[in-house]
Amino acid sequence: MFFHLHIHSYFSMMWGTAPIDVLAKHLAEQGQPVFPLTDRNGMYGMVHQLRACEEYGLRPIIGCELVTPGHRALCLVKTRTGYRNLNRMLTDHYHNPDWSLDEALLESHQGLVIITQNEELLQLLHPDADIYIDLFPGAAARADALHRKYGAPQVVTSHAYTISERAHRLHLLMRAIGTNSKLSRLPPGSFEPPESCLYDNDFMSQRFAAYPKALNATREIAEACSFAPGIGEPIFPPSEYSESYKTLRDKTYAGLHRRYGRITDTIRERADYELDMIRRKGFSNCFLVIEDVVTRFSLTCGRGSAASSIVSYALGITHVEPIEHNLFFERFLNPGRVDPPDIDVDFAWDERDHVRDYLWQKYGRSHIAMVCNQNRFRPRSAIREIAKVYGLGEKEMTEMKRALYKARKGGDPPRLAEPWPEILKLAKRIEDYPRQISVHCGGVVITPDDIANHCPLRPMPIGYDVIPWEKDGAEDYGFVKLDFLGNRSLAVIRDTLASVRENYGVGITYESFNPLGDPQAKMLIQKGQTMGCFYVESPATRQLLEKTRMGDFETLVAISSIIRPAANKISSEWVKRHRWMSKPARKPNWKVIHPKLEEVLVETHGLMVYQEDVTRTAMAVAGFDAVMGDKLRKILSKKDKQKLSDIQARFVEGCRKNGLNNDQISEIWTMMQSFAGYSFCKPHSASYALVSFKSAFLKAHYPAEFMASVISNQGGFYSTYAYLSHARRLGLEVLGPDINDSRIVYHGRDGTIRIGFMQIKGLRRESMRLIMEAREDGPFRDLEDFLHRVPISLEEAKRLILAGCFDALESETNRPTLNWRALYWYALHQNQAEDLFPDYIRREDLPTMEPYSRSTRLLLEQKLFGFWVTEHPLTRYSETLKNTRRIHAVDLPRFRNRTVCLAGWLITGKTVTTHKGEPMSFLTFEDETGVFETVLFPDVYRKRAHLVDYARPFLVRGEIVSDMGSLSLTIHDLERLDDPARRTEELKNFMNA
Amino acid sequence: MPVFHLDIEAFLTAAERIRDPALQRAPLVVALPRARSSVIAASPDAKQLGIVRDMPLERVQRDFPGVRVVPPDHRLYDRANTAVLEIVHDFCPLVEPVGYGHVAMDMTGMRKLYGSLEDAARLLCKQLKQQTRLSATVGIAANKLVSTIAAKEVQKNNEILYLVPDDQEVRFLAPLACRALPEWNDRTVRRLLFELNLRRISQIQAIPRDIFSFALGKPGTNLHRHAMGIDPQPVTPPDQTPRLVETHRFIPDTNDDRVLQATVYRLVEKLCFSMRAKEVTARFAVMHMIYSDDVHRRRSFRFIACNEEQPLYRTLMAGYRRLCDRRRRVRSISITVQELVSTREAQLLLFDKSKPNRLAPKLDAIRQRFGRDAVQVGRALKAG
Repeated sequence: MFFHLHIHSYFSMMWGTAPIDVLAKHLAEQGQPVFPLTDRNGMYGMVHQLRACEEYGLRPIIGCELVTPGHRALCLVKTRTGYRNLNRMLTDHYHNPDWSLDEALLESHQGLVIITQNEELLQLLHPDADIYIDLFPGAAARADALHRKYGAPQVVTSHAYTISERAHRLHLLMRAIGTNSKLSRLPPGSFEPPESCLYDNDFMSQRFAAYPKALNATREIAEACSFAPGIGEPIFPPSEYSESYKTLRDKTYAGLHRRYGRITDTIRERADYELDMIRRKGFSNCFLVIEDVVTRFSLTCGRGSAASSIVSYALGITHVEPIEHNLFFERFLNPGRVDPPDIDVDFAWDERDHVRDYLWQKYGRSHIAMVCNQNRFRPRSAIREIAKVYGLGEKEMTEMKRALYKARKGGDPPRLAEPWPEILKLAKRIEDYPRQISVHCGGVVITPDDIANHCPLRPMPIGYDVIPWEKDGAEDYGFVKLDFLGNRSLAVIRDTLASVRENYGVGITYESFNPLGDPQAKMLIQKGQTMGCFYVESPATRQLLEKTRMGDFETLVAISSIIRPAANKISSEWVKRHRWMSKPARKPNWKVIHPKLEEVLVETHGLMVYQEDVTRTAMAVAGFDAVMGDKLRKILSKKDKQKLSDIQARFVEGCRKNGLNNDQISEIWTMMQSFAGYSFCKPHSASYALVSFKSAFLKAHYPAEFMASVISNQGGFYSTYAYLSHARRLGLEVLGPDINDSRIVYHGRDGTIRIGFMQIKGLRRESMRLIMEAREDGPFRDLEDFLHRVPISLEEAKRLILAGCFDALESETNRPTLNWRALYWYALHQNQAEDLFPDYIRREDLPTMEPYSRSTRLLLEQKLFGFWVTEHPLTRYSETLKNTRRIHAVDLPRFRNRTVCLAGWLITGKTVTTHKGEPMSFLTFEDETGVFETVLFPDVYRKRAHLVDYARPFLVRGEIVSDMGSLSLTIHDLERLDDPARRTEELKNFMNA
Repeated sequence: MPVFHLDIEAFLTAAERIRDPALQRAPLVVALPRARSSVIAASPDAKQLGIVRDMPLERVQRDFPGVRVVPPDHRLYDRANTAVLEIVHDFCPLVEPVGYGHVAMDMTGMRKLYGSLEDAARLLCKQLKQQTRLSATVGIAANKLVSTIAAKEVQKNNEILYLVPDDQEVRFLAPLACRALPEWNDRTVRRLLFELNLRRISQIQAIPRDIFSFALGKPGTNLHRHAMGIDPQPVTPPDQTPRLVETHRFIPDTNDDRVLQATVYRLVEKLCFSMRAKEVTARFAVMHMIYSDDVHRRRSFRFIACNEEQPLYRTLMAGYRRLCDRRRRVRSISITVQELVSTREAQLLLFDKSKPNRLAPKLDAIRQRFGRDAVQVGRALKAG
């Protein structure tokens, strides 16, 4: 009887070729009761293996093949000690490039079965360890020789890297991709022979019939290796308090006193209920860990369902009052919920590393690790990588894509040149294969015991260790994942508050300021003037705000949730209903799909807006319980077609039982499908909406400081140029960089925004720091004083001159002449060669140059800042525009339902696909007077899409359409103002101006 | 030293249009038909639209939909250039080809033959037009630099020649834009000229050379010299040493090492066969690979003079890995052997222990009689 003991899955990254499910199915079909997974130097597939074993009724054997140059040994886990030893060895292997397999096994062989052909290992470990000689196809003679020499027992294995010999080419291909090589140049030892496959158990028995003991050994080992870690049992972070629950309760009540002043019965009841639930679920420590972190950092925003908890609110993890805003705690924790919920907290993006440093320092490297991402081949990357192995490049890729496109358009089967058909076939096979490990953006797991008891830890270049599993795998194993994420808008708010304090001495603290009642902030939201405000600055959201014409917090919460990709129809309907209901004493003028939904969806006007609406609707109309309803919500968001169709069938059946007709069911299901991809629960939306509101407050009251912070922190929805234009329209003055006034980042003060050194391309961060340091000793007196005090390169000095940093300081001298002075200074102080610096050249001998023309100055702005600062880019086309009949963005309301022409600079856009699968675009332009939104429907898109390019000037013609008060232009035609035919003439005029 | 610079404007596109007159109808661009390629040459009418060399092809196709694009055909250009050179060689003995359609000619002492220099230039252009249908301009000046600039400038006025009188170089150059100077091709110099707002050559001439020297070092001195019309470089004819070349073009391209190495062996066989037939040995070889993305790799080898396959192949293989270090497919391999010495004159080794190769003459005899591929060694069988 033979059992396979040495099996690699595709988690032997870039070596193995078989998915875990396929392996499990194959073994089950072969009648092998055990599934040993022995990936190469890693245990990335262990959780998948355990899940597959459950599905196929197999018993898992945990193992790993440890490989170092010149040594390899298969280790199978017999006991928990063996599992720990294996984890520890792998962790050491990852951390120490000089790690020795011999020494490690000598020290940590307990609880493991070791199978090897390595003579040194046999010499060292036999007979103390449970060691076997590896007898595999093609190596019987060596195995016999070793057996004769050492007397250790033999065991038959197959070193299965593929399921069959046919897949060997795929293995070679993976190796060629992995070694960045080609098939004909794979280095010896970098691939396995064709016999390394999962032969039939009977075939192996026959092949090694001469070795009955070695065959029996496979069964004996399989029986001995009975340990597998239990999964699913939550592993909570350690507690630093002797009584965590009591501490949590005390801290909660202290926080409630701080937040509310007076604790009413409602508050007490809610807090006690939540605390009881947290105690029962064992979550006290999680709250305490997060509370400990958030109190140490200036700005945080708890998000996700945790924001519905009054305990989170009291502890300062979240900042939205849950009772007033009607947030249900059950979405976060309820008696039926089996999986641990996430607690996600946002920090200012530039403080996230400090958060990690703090956690690592507090818990120690052996108790904390980050969650990893297992990066996989996607269709495009698979084709690209295989094409590279075949020696093909971009040109051939483009040709192939063109041929495929043509064939698809003509409805013919694609006729591709060799070797593309083979490449596409192979690419299809390796799609979804894991490729490498990276770090999850914020997931952290903390364990009370040594984390190596659970899994090996792999160091990553960012300096932290990761566990070998992704977030789902980590949760399946039982780790409670805490997410600490970076958020730019929190940094924007922090920087704005600091500027306000510095400029006006007004001390506002993030936690305490409550802008929800501020009329100016409300007005700003109501008008959709939210460029720069967190989460509600996109054109689509701004238009939705304009349509809604309401700026209260509840509206913003709903809009934060409803603005998701698949919810266009629902959002329009919601706006209509919401506006109707905004007037006092009005009753709904619509009919809810089914009476059972009336109560469930009363808050959202009979529509599904939040994630919990899906769960509650399913419970109301299909008779699902809370667990099933939550499962439906999860499946909808994860796009698993099979699971989705299964649960849809159950949903339809449930609805029918409750008397719903097909139309009603279909309407409800369509609404549910709008939650595909991503969607939010109400607590999360509320938490985000609060940050949006705070941003809006700061923008309304301190626009210069706010806009400067938005640009400084980068990463907003729009480009720096678009934000600066917007700032100008708000009445702010944008000042160019100045050597004595600019900071590294943008700085706002008294209605002005000063461009920071960060905007000057080619200036190193270190040089900016040096300038700021030198300026602490007093302002610079002239160029030479600057060059004496700041040790930067000539190139950077010239960039500062060209950017106009010295225009104010050296108002008498133009930039080209200053460049001569800089060249002279560097020749004098850095170039010591006498022949290059004759004595008789004095500073006075330097030539005086002509100043730059207007066009050159604008060109410099474009090159150094990336945009024009002193003029609107459309002025370049003023000659053309003079002869064009056009209206300006500010005049749009006067031309409703009329066809007009506008000139605009394209600042952002989004291309989507219609339900017919045709592409169309929403484009945002700006002219000298304002921003305007446009729609490029599929018929025009087909004709004009090739012209669309960001940061370009356009002439657009179309009809102004008003949708519930929000104006947009339906484009009939568009053309580029920088069209070459125009440009030649235009540029000539421009350059001569 | 009067120097002629013969300049055939947009040589590549002119050659294409002579071969295919239909290309006259639209602005023409020569570029490789592949992703991210750029313009290699543009016809004068294309240049008027604003198309310049090195402009991304994608942009040309997007912004100038009427422009015709043809792939470069170097054989055609070589043929046309050879025809031009033949005419020029007949015209003047001291000739330096500068590139496709550009030739420098030292006309010292030629006045007696052609009368005035202007007459000579006109005659040359006429002959070229008659024999090749290519239109050329000629710049005449005291040195190569000024004559080159003059030939380019004259194209703007639709004339065929421009003579810069002696000692008038400074005046001739003064009104021209700095881009006329060869240093304009140096990005550093170009940037500095922009930074210092130096747009005309006269502005450079007005600044003392020493100041340029300390600002820009040697390139600055050269820039100033050139702005003053000073260029001491003589007209130098190209090096013409005997060599043998064998090339193989793969169809389709391949990146299989076995095929590539077998092909190298086949090429070595052919070269050795030719060398033995000519009774010469080589001491220097160049292996040149062109990849499918038009990347060229070249490597040279120096070795003890030989004309036998094994030592030459071993020598080339020692550098093969570094030459063929990319995964991209190879389009062609060519091997050139140089420094050919007659076997009778070759320096013998003092302690030569190698046995005479008796097989090679037999194989050569078979090949001479039945063709080059009549007999092959096993390792060359996989050749493309």
